[in-house]
Amino acid sequence: MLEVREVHAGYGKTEVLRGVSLSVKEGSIVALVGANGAGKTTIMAAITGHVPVSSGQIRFQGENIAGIPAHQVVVRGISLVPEGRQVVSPLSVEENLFLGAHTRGKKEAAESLDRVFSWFPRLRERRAQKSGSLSGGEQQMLAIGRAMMAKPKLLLLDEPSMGLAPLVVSEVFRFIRKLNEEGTTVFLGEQNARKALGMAEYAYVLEDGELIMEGPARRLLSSEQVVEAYLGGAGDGI
Amino acid sequence: MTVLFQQLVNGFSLGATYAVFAIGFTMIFGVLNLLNMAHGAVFMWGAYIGLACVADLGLPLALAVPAAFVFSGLLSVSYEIVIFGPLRKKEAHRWIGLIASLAMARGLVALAQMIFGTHVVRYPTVGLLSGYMEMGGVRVHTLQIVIFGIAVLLMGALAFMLQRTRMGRAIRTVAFSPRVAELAGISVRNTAFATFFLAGALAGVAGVLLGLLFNAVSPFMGETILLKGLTVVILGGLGSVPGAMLGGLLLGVIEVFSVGYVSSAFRDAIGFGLVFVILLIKPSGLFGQTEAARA
Ligand SMILES: Nc1ncnc2c1ncn2[C@@H]1O[C@H](COP(=O)(O)OP(=O)(O)OP(=O)(O)O)[C@@H](O)[C@H]1O
Ligand SMILES: [Mg+2]
Repeated sequence: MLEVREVHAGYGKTEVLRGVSLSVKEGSIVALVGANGAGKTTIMAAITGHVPVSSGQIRFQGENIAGIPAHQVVVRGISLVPEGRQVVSPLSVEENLFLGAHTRGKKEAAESLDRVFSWFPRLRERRAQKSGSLSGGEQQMLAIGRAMMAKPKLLLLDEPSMGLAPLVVSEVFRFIRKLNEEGTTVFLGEQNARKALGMAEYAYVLEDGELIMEGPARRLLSSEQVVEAYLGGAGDGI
Repeated sequence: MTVLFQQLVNGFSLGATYAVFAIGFTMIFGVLNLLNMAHGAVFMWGAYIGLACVADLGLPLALAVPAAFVFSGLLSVSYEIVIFGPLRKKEAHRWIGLIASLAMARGLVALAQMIFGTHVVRYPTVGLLSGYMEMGGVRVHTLQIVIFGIAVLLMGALAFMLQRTRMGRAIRTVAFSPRVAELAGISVRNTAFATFFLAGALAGVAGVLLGLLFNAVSPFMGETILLKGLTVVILGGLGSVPGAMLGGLLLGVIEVFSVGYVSSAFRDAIGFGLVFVILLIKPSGLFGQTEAARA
């Protein structure tokens, strides 16, 4: 479904991604793990058109989408839940959700809204509230709900565990799995390698803008190298 | 007491035009993070277009106002096309846009001087609008009512558009984060066009209204109002539309009162001075967020 081929990308003259190739099969959950500054967010940004790809291809459903305007990526069927959630705090909960369906019709948006509210009754209760007043966990649910309002084929999540209590993290991950079971393909960037590898089918390990390892998630979880570098307890950080 | 009410009536009609002008200025700042120094020039051109409609074409005000609205809106969009859009693409520093828009403003003033001359011209006294009514010694001119009415109508329509429509939501989202807007499928470029159009259109109408109120139109009227607009925007809280509305009214009232109770020579000194005092008490402006909340 998604295929990243030999992608080089970065900010201005500094190259961050140095020839990254990976693929995400339809219906799967694929994890991208790596430490601070490895380039996970940059890969997401390259896919969504927010970082220019200097060479290589990003193919989605057979078409190269590298270089298309950022606001057209969602129309292709890719939604990102950005790092740090980025809920639009001056907008109400409901407005944030409708924002996610900006490119879709009114009726479809209303249907999707019902669906999101059925997943997150707490958001329904707080629909008129300014979204900045939600708790961190609720904001993460809102950010995921907003991305799902576009009815994406591929859902990108950048660090969904960031800043959340362990219990809430588990809740978020359970929910991501549920979305996947209902048909959404998931590509997940995470520092929390234990959680991410526990859920994903396949995973890539990114270091310094290069993929250094890949394989079925379960196998990486038991690989000595990964355990040492990413699961030494620090992985569950902050 | 009568004098006080008279001053309030005068202050509100003046302040309403300041508010209509300043709303666009604050929107361009709040949504696109730009200081558009050419915002006064669309105001001035709007006043001339309105004047041409009324005086040369003999059209009623009900047509002159929409004409100024559309013309100034499009003129304002040209700023985005010529200056701000290309600078955004190059990720250039804000100061460059500030200087470039100053150049644009001066160019438009010079063009107005060439076409319309440098002398002050006046709106012909339009029959109905020259009337007034008296209530308990307070004289309310029909013109003041019309000006206030148009200003309130426009502000109401804008508030509705921003709060209740899809386009308004897009504009508010771009103001929060262009990147989040793009993730949702919003074109930042189109949103910038819409913002510049609305801002310019409102300024153009404000030009007609102020031209009517002072009965004077000149190529330099945009420069004066730009400073007042800046003051109103800072007073109201940078980027805040309700702030610009309230700030405009407040500055109008302050000015009229300082002319009435002190001297017209001190009008701006007192006006700007009082704004300074208000900002000492509330540094982020009436409706301003702190820098931390904006980030
Ligand atoms: N806007 C930017 N301009 C310049 N360099 C940047 C920018 N954003 C990120 N970088 C650099 O790119 C590299 C990769 O950063 P990136 O944010 O992609 O890492 P990450 O894996 O997402 O890290 P984290 O886990 O901390 O989110 C880092 O060295 C970072 O300093
Ligand atoms: Mg990151």
